[in-house]
Amino acid sequence: MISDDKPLGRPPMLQSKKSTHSFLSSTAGLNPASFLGTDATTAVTLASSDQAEIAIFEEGLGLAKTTLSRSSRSVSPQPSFMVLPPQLALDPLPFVELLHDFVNTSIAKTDDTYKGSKPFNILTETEEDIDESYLEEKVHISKKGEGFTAKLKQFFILSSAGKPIYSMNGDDDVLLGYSGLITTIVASFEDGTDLLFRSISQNGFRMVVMNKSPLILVAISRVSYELMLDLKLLESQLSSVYNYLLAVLSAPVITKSFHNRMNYDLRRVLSAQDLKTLDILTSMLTFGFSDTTDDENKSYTVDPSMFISSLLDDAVQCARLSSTLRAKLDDIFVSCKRLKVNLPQSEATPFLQGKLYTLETTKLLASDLLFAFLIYDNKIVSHLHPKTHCLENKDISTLLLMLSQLSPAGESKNVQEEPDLWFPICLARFNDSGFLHCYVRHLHLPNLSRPLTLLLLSGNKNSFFEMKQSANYIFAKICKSKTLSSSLPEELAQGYLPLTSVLKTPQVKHFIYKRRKANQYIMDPLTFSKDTFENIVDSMFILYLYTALSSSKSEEVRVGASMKKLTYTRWHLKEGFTGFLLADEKYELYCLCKGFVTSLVLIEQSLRIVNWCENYRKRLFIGPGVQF
Amino acid sequence: MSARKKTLLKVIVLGDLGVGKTSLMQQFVNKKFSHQYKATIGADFLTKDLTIDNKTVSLQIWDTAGQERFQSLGVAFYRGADCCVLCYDVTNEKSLNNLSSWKDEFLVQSNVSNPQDFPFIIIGNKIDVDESKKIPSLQKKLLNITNNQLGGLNYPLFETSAKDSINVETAFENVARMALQQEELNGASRNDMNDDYHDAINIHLENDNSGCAC
Repeated sequence: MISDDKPLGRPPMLQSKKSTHSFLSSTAGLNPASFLGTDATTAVTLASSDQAEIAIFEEGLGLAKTTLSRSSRSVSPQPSFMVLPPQLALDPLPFVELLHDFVNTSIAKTDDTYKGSKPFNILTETEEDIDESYLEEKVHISKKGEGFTAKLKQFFILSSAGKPIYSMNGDDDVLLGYSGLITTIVASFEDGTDLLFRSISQNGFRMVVMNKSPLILVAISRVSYELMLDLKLLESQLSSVYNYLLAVLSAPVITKSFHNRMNYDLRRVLSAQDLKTLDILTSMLTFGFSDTTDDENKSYTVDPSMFISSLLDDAVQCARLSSTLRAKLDDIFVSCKRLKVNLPQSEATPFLQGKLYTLETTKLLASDLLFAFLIYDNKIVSHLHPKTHCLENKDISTLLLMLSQLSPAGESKNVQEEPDLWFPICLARFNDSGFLHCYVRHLHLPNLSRPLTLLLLSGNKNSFFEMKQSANYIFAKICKSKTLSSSLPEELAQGYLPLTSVLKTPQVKHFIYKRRKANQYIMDPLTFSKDTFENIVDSMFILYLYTALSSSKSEEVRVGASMKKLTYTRWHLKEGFTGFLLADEKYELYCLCKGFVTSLVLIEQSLRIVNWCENYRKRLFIGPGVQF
Repeated sequence: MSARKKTLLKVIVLGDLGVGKTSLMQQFVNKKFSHQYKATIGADFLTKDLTIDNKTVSLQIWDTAGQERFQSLGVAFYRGADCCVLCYDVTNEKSLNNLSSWKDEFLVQSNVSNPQDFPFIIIGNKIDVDESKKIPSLQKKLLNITNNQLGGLNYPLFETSAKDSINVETAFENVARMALQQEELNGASRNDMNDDYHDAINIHLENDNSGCAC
């Protein structure tokens, strides 16, 4: 049952492929706007949209086996909860039929009986068991020379002269040789051909190179799920690493360092903290966890979101928040931008000290403020930016990475003890030659395990006190507002509720939903509550399944004017899994189900997720943020 | 603020085919000598830690191929070197005469900023052989090459035997010391970019809403 049609060796899964012509015939002549009801479902009334976090489809579950449309039609709202007008919640029958057709054809091509599972190694797609010593040998970052070649993933930053600057694994003794070798291969190829060296791929091995003279960045992977995709994933990882390097140094510093002396050792301007952050970044990007061991306690942070973000073209995660609350926060940002303060007497500019004119005694407090963020648990709650400038997601991710390293959130509960943070950061996609200055402060809200974090980015390095005052103003506004101070903690805490249980889609174990235009995603919150080792393996397993799902061959189906992309996959792993991908030009839905789920259930539940997400997109996604 | 551990120095070893570059490396790094000749293909990379004046340095030695067909490997080898070792064979006059073209080749390819200060050393290998086989009146010819030519090779010279391990260690300690000096000189001549965090970003915001508040 193993399909071996790809050179890299596929996992033991059964892929579905073929299209059936009946799809097309059954969709002919349909009104495109009616499909999925995404346009129609925007009709959420403002008055009711704030009252409930989620619309609950009470009876949707146990309903009709024959037609899905009927089951949707019989949705009845809970009295105080907002739901869609019933007819708008409908998925047009032909599309549902079409989905059934697709899934049934896919299932027909696979073997429905579950084969049971041998131990399956998700990292190498072999039968080798993954235990703690295996992780120690192949996965965990180690700066020792021995065991260097056993690692499944390597990252290098080298100078064009072949001197190592950073390496995920290994010590100088092994690195000096490999650095020379890699530089020589790259330079000899590029000098000889005038082509850029991009990658070498071989069975179970891939090396991707990004030449940013005077630096060379290299990723080498033997991790099965990273090899399923094209070069884009590893290239995106490399650009994240490069982006971090630029964030601390900026492009001119790097260029100047090497100017007229190619033998320069860039390590002398990188701090130990920078190297540690690179370790965390590279490990998170590859395996979805990182070693956060401090002096005494061995600890690991498990969080697959960084990998998922690069899988989804750098999409960022937003915090769920009702649109009124979000609007209130946005208003506070905008009002802060307009806030005028009195100038101290000494600074007041005498303005034609005649009889008709008075002293110019006020100024805009936050005139240097360019970007502002409210962040909760690494997710964006609210964002302010100038009309003329936007930050790219890569920059936002780098900012969040920097933030997580500089101020580990939630360590001290005592607000008094927390210092204000003020650091320079170069956001390379925005401007790689200069630094912005970032002010950070946490706000501890009642009943929340993590603080709400405020980031204020200023273009002026002397504006610390203005930013501090602005932060005082913003926090005071949040605390004074009755709605915000009571509802904000409540709603943010709700973000941890598993959506699949709220949405009553019991078969779907986990899902990711991405809005393409804003390039933002939400995912069902993951709870890692077992022991560290199991959490790590679980996290990698999720990465494996999602990567396999997004790299599986998909079916393109035209539904009216829009092209729908469909993928249905089953894995004979553990208890068996079913993956389903549904995408069009607006959204992408990835869902994972335990066991082999029937098409009826799968389609009903995934469409319910899509409808719900589209319906509540204002509270799930922040879009471009608020402008000034 | 620095996370620097050891100073890392890139050392290029150049010279004609068969003068014993690889043997010198093997003797220096692994304390081994092999009688068998095996041409180097492209380049070998070897690493050795040394302690110079209480400072640990890591030498990243690029042992290049002497054969002409590999000389096109060029820039990648030479770029960013901290020191260049020019080798000849005391029994092979042509290898001695070629030293200055090796040096020129290096300077052209590496594009170092101040060639007159760049640290080179010269190693004459195979001094273990019979006096009769050596280049006749070697000392005089050496003097000629190092002093008398225009743009001569006025660099420290070491005569070594990779086979009997004579002078090899000393020669490379000198390599490290010279490279280190150069490195410190460079480091001192420029303060490491304290100004760069002052590059301000200029953004002109059309701030049209300042007027409406009054």
